Amino acid sequence: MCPIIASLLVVLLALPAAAAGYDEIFERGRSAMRARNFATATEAFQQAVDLRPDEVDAWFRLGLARSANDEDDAAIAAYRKAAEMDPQHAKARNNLGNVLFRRDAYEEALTWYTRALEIEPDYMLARYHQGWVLRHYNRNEEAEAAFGHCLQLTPQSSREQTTRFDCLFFAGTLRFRAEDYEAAARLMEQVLAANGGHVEARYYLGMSYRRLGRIDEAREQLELHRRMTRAVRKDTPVEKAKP
Amino acid sequence: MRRKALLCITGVAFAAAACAGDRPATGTPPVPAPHFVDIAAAAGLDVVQVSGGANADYIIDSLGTGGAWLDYDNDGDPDLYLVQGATRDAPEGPPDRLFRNDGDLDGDGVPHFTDVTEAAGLGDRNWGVGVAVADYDNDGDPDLYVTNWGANRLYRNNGDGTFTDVAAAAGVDGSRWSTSAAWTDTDRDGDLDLYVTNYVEFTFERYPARGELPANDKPCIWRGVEIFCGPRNLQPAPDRFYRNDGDPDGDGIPLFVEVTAQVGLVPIEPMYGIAVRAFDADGDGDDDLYVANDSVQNLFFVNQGDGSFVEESILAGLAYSERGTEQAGMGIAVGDYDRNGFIDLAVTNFSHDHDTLYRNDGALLFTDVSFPAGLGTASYFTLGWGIEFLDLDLDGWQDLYVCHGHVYPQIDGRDTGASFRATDGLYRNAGDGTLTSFPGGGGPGMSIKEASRALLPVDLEGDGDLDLLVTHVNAPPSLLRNDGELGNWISVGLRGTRSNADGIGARVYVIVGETRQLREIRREASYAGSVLPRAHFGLGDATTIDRLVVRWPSGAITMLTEVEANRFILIDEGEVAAPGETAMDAETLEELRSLGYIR
Repeated sequence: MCPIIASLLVVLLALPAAAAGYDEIFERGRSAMRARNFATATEAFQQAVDLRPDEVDAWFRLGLARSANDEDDAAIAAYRKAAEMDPQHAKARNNLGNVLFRRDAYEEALTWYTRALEIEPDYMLARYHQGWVLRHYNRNEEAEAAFGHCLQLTPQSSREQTTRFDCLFFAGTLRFRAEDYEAAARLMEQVLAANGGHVEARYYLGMSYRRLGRIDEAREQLELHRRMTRAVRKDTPVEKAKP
Repeated sequence: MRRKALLCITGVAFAAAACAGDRPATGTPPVPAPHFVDIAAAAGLDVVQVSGGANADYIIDSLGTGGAWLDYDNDGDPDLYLVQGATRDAPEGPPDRLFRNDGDLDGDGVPHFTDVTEAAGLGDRNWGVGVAVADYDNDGDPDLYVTNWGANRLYRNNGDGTFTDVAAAAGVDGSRWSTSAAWTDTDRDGDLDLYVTNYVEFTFERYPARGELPANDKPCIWRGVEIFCGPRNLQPAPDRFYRNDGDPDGDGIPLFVEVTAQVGLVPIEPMYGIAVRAFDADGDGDDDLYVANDSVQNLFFVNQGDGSFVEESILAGLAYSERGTEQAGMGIAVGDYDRNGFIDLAVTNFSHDHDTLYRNDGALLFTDVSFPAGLGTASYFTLGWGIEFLDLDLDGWQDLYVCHGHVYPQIDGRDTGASFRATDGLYRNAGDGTLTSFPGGGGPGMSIKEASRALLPVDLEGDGDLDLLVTHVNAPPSLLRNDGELGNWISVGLRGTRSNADGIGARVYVIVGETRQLREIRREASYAGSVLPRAHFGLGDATTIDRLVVRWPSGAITMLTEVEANRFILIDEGEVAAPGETAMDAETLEELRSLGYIR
């Protein structure tokens, strides 16, 4: 496309936005996000960054909207832009890690979690994800340190409260992997005290009891786990539709 | 390439005097590593194994087909049976094939295989999946059990190069969608019984094709890709177990009795059976059974000593992954990879999960060590099928080979991290519980990208290294000749008299200095196939085995001493002591007992 025509198109597209004003567009995007209307939010934040490409927050929120709209490549680009523009933006780095994590690009995700934590060491979500990836790579001691750090933090939101229990669970799995079944059982009991429906914690508790020779308790926990697994499956028989 | 070494031996007395090995002495030993070269086409194995429609519109298009190594004509070299599937448009598929091994006639290093299907009276055209070989009638030649969607076949080997299907008369034809099967003498009466895994109660009329909306209005989607439905939410087909009652009226037709429930081989609910392997999990002298199921838990049936079973998968740690999640079991490897005297298991699973390595800690307790071993992370994006513990570099540690290939052709070009056709996995056992890679990567054969399914190891030329036949979906198989410069070896076959004819279920121990290795004689492969009943050992630099001990299914024990390496030996049960007696010295017997090898 001819550069002049392209420039004209950008200006024309930006006209209504300019008419509406950056702040109004930005707020429209935020409202759309709250309403879980991610397509509208994406459109608004795209207009916002077109209007003010030097606004870090607009790029960050565009990343949020793109990510929520399952546009991973575009989300990665937006978060990268925010991270480049603000060397102290821990959330952009964490969220970039999250998108990569969702795409199973664990090594790259780990890099971004680590960068987020260099800026904000007590960033609980980043610390949890760092631990998860390290555990995936069997870097168990580092993973335990990450989950341990996570457990020392005080949750500031319900989401962080959930994350803390996730850290507790994974710390328990690592104790199990280290064949420290007493500690694994203790941690899983704590997880289950908070959330009795945690299927995997139920399994670890049962297997820890099994290892500790507490066979009857093991059988009880493992049978509970089996039933929970069956229930979670939500089987819905498939048949060919009748014509 | 080394010349074939073959030795037949009966009993203890002749062991030390066995003929000398033919492996030439070498100077500085090279770093051992397998080097695989595909010789299938040159060997005449260029037949496409049809296995469903190319678009995989139905679940039946997904399983692929297997095959079997067997010496059907008893001429000493391995022949090959290849299973053929079919398609919806042509449900009577191409015939299964039997290829006779005519050896390396022109000296080019490649054996030639001749299609003898018709002459052998074979050529089943049902939609086949797998085949299980065994000498079920103990007459000295291998018979065939073919698993199909529809009626299965039991081909009795007539001993003259021909076969007769006796499945219906014997009561083992079934009518379900059978996948794998294992022959095992679970009641230790001297003949082999039969476990058959069944998958889904499938018909084209019952289930929607890919793209059709099911009656429950839930489209079948995987990671954004429209796929065939199942197996979850389809009706599972229950497995079957048949007790071999011999040929009571002497008419050449065996009598098999379906005793699945009677002997306790019934899970808490029907599951999607894919593969089965017999192994002695606790070293108590009887065969236990492990069944890999798709999408749900796996099963572990512990033999109570009388041929009856108790299902103990969950308490043993063998039902789920480390995290207690259901996986999608495909193939099963059995072997003592850590040389602790107990048989470990490895199970292949779906992509975006991981293959699972279960370390046997004894006392019927297993630990999922997939991630500590390095297998968990490495197998995350791959969908595995055939898998075996094999000493591919002959260093004394069993390595791991894994067949890869997805079930959804539609994932190609999508951002899932996986692909329909994939290279297989090759892991070197580092000897410290971890799996690493081989220097050189295993040669050009490891670059083949296909949708692989069955893995059938064999020592094709009798030169002591393990070659591999790998089947592929809708493609000819690969025959991977191992051209690596490797360590020393020994291969052991058995001829049972009180036990079943091939010694299926026997344990073979090789002791060199402080090093102890264990194998069991089995026919079933990890998925949909069979192999020769051999115990194959890599010995590294060792040229002599201090002690070679066989624990027969009958309970009898054979011990050979000072056995030279680099040969195949055939040991006859007839020359050994009766059960409870032993020709070995008390010190050795106590040592083997203390190690848990003998009870």
